[in-house]
Amino acid sequence: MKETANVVVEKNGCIAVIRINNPPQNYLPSPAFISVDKLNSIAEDEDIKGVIITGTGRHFSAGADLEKLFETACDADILTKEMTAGSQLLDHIFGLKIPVVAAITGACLGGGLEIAMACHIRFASAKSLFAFPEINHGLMPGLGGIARMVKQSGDHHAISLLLSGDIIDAEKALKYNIVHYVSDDDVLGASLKYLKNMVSTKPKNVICSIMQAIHNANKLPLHEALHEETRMFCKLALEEAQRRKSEIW
Amino acid sequence: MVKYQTINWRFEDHIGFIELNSPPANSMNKLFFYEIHELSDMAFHDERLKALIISGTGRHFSSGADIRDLLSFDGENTHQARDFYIANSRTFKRFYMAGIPVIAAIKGVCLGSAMELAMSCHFRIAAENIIMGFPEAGYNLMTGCGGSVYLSDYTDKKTAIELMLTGKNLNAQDARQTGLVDKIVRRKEVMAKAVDFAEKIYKNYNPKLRNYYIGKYM
Repeated sequence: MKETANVVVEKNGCIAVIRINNPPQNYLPSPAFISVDKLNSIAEDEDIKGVIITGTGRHFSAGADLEKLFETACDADILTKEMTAGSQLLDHIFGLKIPVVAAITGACLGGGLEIAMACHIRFASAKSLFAFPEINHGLMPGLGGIARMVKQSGDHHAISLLLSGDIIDAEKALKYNIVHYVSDDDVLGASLKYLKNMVSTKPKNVICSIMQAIHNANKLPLHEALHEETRMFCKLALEEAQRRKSEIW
Repeated sequence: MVKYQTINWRFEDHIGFIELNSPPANSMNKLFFYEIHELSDMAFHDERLKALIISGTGRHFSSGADIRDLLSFDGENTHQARDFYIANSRTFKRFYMAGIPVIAAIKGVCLGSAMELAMSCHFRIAAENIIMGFPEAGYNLMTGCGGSVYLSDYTDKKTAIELMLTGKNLNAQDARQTGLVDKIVRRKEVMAKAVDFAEKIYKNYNPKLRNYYIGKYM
């Protein structure tokens, strides 16, 4: 996927803030708004212990640029390629080895909502708005958003949002488990504070091991997930025992 | 009946009672892990056993494994230590995989490995005064007996991340809301409720009908 200037990455202490940067609505020029490689290099950075995804300006993202989408759709191969890349990116975000928080303001629609649903924890401003408007254009979400919506919000909220295309506010989104926290004004500030409180004092290998265990629990067969958890625990316990010993000496 | 030092074991009317017994907080030392392994081996081979209830003696369920034991790795006994933890994880897995109902009756603290044990049970009945949590990350550690795995049956990644990374404690209301306990009752009624529930569900028990049993009999 070609790299675009449509994403800006800033460091804020131990947190990387990734901005979807195509104001005012932050339409997504392509479904893979950042490359998997770029995301990996952020997560690999020893200093970075958490990621926030947000939008530049007033909105998170209003989703796909429909005109461009229908243009691309004329070539089935290109569309499939782009959608697959986008879908893989969101899977990658959901499985990232450090926690990812979505800081949502304004419009969070369609593909934008799919990105948000791929983040582990979602903060929203009281004035933010959510919808899957795809059905109004004879479409449906195509980046894994439906599966995530069903899993996290339950069948009946998913069906009503997906089939109606209705816009809901933050209060409803909170009730549907589409967002986890609503804050009055500074959503990015609240997200930063929350994430730093969670990770800043913890060693990176502890964070990564715990995240990996949680991901494993959701995808590996039982015995493998259990085995991996014990293996990672033993590695941490050995390292910590050695660290304490060297401190004493 | 076999005697254990860290566990009171009773078997009455089809129900086995595993009571963690290392007062005051029933912390889980190495001997406990050996004994619960042995006990589960024996209990699950007894066809008369139709339900299990796990609880703690006194005011608490258990404060979990002793941090000094967890950090007793010293490079020379690494393999031995690893085998020990693998065995512990397998012991808890037996409860999780059991074909009979396994119920945790929880009072007071239920932390770390104790919460792993509670989460490996099929049902959790809790007193109003419980404190649940995974404090491991605060010691630069993580769960090692299946806690992260069993948690995923009841919660989403968001809750799992918050519990395991921040190590925050949950009270009874929080735990009920996040689906980690199934029923809150008064402290004095926890055991009676667990027994009552076990008696109602043990016949033709089907682990897949968890929500049905909770809805109908809790």
